[in-house]
Amino acid sequence: MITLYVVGTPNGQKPTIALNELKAHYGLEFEIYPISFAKNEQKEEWFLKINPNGRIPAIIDHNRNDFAVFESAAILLYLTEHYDPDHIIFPTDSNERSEVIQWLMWQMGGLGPMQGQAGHFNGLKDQIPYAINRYNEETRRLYSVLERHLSEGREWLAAGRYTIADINSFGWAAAHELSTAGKVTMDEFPNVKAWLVRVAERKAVRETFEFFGNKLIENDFHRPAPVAPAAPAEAKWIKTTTTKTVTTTDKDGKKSVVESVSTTYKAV
Amino acid sequence: MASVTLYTTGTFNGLKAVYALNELKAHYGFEFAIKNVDIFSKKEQQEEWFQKINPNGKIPALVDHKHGDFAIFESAAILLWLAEHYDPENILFPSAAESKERSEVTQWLFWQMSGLGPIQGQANLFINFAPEKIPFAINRYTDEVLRLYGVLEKHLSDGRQFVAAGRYTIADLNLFGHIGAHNLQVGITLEKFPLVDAWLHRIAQKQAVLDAFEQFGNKLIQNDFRKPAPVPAPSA
Repeated sequence: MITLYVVGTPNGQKPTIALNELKAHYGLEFEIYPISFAKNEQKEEWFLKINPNGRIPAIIDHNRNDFAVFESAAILLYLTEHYDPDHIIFPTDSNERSEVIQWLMWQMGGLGPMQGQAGHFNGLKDQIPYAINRYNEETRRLYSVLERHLSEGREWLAAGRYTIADINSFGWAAAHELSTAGKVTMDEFPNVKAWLVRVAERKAVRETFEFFGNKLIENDFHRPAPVAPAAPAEAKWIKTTTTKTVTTTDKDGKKSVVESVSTTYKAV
Repeated sequence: MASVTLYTTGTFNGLKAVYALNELKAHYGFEFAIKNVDIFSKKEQQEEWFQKINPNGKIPALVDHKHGDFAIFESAAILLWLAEHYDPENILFPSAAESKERSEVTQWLFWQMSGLGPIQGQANLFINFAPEKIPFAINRYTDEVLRLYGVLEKHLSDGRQFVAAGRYTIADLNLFGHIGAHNLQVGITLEKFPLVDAWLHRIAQKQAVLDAFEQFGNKLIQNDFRKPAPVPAPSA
């Protein structure tokens, strides 16, 4: 069993899609523990033991001595290393693997952080034009890189086929209008748009978006789309609710007992 | 005969592969060439020939002549490529059998690539280069930099001398330059992060690292990681 600690953000979607692919092909078992941002759960001590950076996603692999993995692309590489013997989403050839890794890094170092800043500044009540412009334009530049890359006869980002490189960039690219308040659209990037549609044909991708109540695919990647955490679709998931008591001691030695309720979702 | 050519310059992403190549040269006699790319005045990284090597138009990028001139872009991807192909004794990266240790290295590579690098870069921009001072942005990125340094401090407090796998690896090389630039880029000091400070000085002792800084005339280590004093304007 693998436990995925996640929220339905573009980074959270990544391992969810990969796990759905591996479930479909191999019957790999995993469960989802939805982290509550409202409660700042990702900064709680128990979670920091799993991910010292205090962010989602993170996994614990109970099949391998509760080994913890943080950083979304590291999780993708971990899952393919241990759970993809048929190489359905990661190649065997070393040049092709490097291509995949290069595009993983490109997204992790570029598209994610820069589009993320765009999303932040576009969403502020007191708008800061310099920042908005900077991040919208860098986001646009990054899509132009992707556009050119895909215009050279490529259907997929790396290795000539669907891999974790596509999974890794899909959620962010799907949210391009949301992050840039509509300033960046796929009108400028037809090859990226075609790639988005192509990746969205994967059942694992659609199941993931459905689970998180994300309507971007249905909306043809246009705003508005409810990205607020909706109650996950229950039909295909077994929901388990557990109550645990946690005793904490503050710096004065005073103990307090807190009851916390957690819910996990296991794929059927 | 150079096995690889590294297209780079003396920035903190650019230096990462230089440390690794210097280590491989020292240990294995590995031969490589470095081409300096003028990213500031000539903007060579935007030229067509370079974009063929790196479609993202940034340094560093590496061309491997032993693999049909295969091109690699993204600094941490270059480190992984070098480790995979040119480090048979695993001096910089755990072996395939050490899969947990390898994953640790990978996790911390991504932590730098997705977090520390970009965020410190934004801090640097808003503090030192933006045309106007925007306090909201300066605070946002400075706070996040401090949070990230705190994460590293806590990580090192679990008895670790190195970032991952219990030994010196590309995870350390990948982080070194940016952590070294804490004062230069963000104007912070490491008083509140003594373990990060100790780690920084530990890595700064590596000959491969010192050589790289010297090769590019970067005086940061010489200055003990402090911002250099402002150069007085020349008279007349």
